[in-house]
Amino acid sequence: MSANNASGTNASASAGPSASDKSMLPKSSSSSHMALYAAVVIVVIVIAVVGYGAYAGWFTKKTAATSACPAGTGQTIAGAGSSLAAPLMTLWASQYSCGQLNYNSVGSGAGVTSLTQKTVDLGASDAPLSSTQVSALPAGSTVLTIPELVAGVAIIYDISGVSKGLNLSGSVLAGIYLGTITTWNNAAITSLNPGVKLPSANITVVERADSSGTTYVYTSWLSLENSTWKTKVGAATTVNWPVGIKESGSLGVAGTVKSDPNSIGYADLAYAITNGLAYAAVQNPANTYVLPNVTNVAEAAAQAPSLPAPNAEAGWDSFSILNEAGTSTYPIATFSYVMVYSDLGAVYGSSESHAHAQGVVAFLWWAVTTGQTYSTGLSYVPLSSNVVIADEAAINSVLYNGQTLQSH
Amino acid sequence: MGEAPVGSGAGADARPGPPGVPPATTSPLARGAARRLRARAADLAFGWVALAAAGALVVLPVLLVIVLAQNSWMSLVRFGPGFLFGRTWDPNLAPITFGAVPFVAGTIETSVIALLIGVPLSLGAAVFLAELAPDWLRAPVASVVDLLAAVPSVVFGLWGLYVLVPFMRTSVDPFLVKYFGWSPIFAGHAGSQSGQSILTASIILAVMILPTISSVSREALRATPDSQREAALSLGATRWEATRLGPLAYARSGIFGAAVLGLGRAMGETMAVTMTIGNSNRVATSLLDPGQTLSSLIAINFGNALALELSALVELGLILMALSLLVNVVARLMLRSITRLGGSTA
Repeated sequence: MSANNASGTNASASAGPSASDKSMLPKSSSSSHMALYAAVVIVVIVIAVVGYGAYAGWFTKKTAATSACPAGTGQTIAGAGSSLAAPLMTLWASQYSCGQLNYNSVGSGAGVTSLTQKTVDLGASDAPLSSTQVSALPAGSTVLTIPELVAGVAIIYDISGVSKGLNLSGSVLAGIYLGTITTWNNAAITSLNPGVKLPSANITVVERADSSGTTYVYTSWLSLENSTWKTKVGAATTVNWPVGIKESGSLGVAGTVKSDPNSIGYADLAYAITNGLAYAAVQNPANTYVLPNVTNVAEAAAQAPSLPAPNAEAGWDSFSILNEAGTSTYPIATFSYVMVYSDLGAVYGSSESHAHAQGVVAFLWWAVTTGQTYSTGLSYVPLSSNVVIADEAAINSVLYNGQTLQSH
Repeated sequence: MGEAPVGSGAGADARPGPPGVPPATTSPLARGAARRLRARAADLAFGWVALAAAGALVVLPVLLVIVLAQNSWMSLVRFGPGFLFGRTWDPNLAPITFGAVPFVAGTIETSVIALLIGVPLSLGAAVFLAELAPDWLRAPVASVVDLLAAVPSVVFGLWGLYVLVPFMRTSVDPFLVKYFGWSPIFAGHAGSQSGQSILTASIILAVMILPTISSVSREALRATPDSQREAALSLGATRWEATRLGPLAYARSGIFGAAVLGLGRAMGETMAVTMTIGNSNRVATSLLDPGQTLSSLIAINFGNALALELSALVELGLILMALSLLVNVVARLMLRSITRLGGSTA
């Protein structure tokens, strides 16, 4: 070594760093460092591949039949909107084998805005199009409103010692959300729940910050139940809530209710069940306190009035299944809608291929037919046959530059 | 043969060219003139490129203001100056009403409190790192503090939501209400017990601006000439007094600039605030109430606002920009008075 050193220093004039110089350099390019870098790179690649696989559904069992797919296989369909529909949309995305659905749960309002800006193929919203949204649509275009599921909005709460099934009425809930009822042991609540020990703590009221179809449904119901609510706050996808803290998305509301003691919120039943939250038995027009479940929400859907025409746009405004009759009917039930343009080629222009339009329509057809078999597993109600017939007619009417796409 | 005559007096110009390349046929004088012309052209080009870059930086804010004004025109015309004093944000009222007061108040409240909490902490860290830390401790601590600056704000928001908010709700807020609830700023109202409040958001903001203020202050303190410290020490000052009379006084304007930088970041912070402030469109009278800031509201509603509401949101953005501008102008004026009292002008 010393001999090498000597020769190294002797020949160091123009031969690069000598051995003694090398000892002053950081020992950075030794083989152990190379092995470390290689290991890190390999781990990152493996994580990326596994993550992509999970996203692309390599690891979920596809129980749907992979037999003949209709025309338009293998397309990527972009959807965005309602977080109330998101659990079912996510399940559909993993089970639909004839294409790839990418669904972004951003809230009903943002879903319709995305559709208006033509960044998605399908906009999902629990609130039908408002006149403002209709006037913002591209000129000359028509949007079809296609109901694809029925859901119940659960009133979730987190009170220690109080399990599922607290009796709450519309006037009590309006009082809580208006700020006139501030503590859990308020007489209005205890009178509905004899025998339940309610704490004297303040109620933490949680609501949606973003433009939400769930908010639309809940505030519509509160407007029916309480005239003060109707005049003071009203019903819309975004309202000026008098009290409470606001979270983004149903997941945000469910998460906050879960972590905050003595809190109350509203979210789709699916979130209540998956997050293990307690939810209330709500008073219906027959003065019975009903828990939300598939049967009770289905009774509301069974009494749905006749559907407006799919291209009626803002004509779905007054269509609702709130407060339907029946002793075991859940009062806060709603359809959730998928909005799609009536002529995909004309609206999206040259970026929309015929095959892609076929793929969108094929997915919609699958969703309202085979897709309905997945509903009850997530506590949604499958569409009744007359709604499915109306939906199929609507899907058959979707055009591509004036030509029909689907003909079942 | 074609080579430059060796004795032509060109000196170093008369080097032979690289092998295989025919030697230059021009005279050294002409070569020198060509080189000077190239140099002047290069200088000119450099000047223009630098001017273009500076010009772009000047034009950009002007363009920003123009675009913001354009997109908020509907709201500016509809509400006029009343927008700045309106306290209601309700898209469903008839007539539709939007007002900026709760959000401007929330932005100012959270930023000021973040500064009040953050500046002493940052300054303490900066003084420790610049003056008091032993050499072996300085580098690791400095790099950890700088690492804080690299953490994305969404991560801070998640930490705030899952760690800080429950901590505030269970420990800090009840303590504050119990002992200070008599004062209006710590009053515990019926809706304010969730832990998501102005105070929680301010604490998160303080943590986020800590690395910014700390590193800039540290540089300002390090730039103090040793003579300042030595002079104080030689007059019998204690360690703290020497630090106060020497570096802290000398670096006053640098520290002030650091605080303004931190304030700018706090005012614009979006994600971390959204997750911890409670998003309530009301003016928060107590620090424990939920509130809302300009950037947080814009972030939540931008994806789903249409027409007049969208225009009102852009107007809020214009107001935020005007607020930042105002803060910077006031800071410059204050800086001038600080530097007039002595110290470095860094």
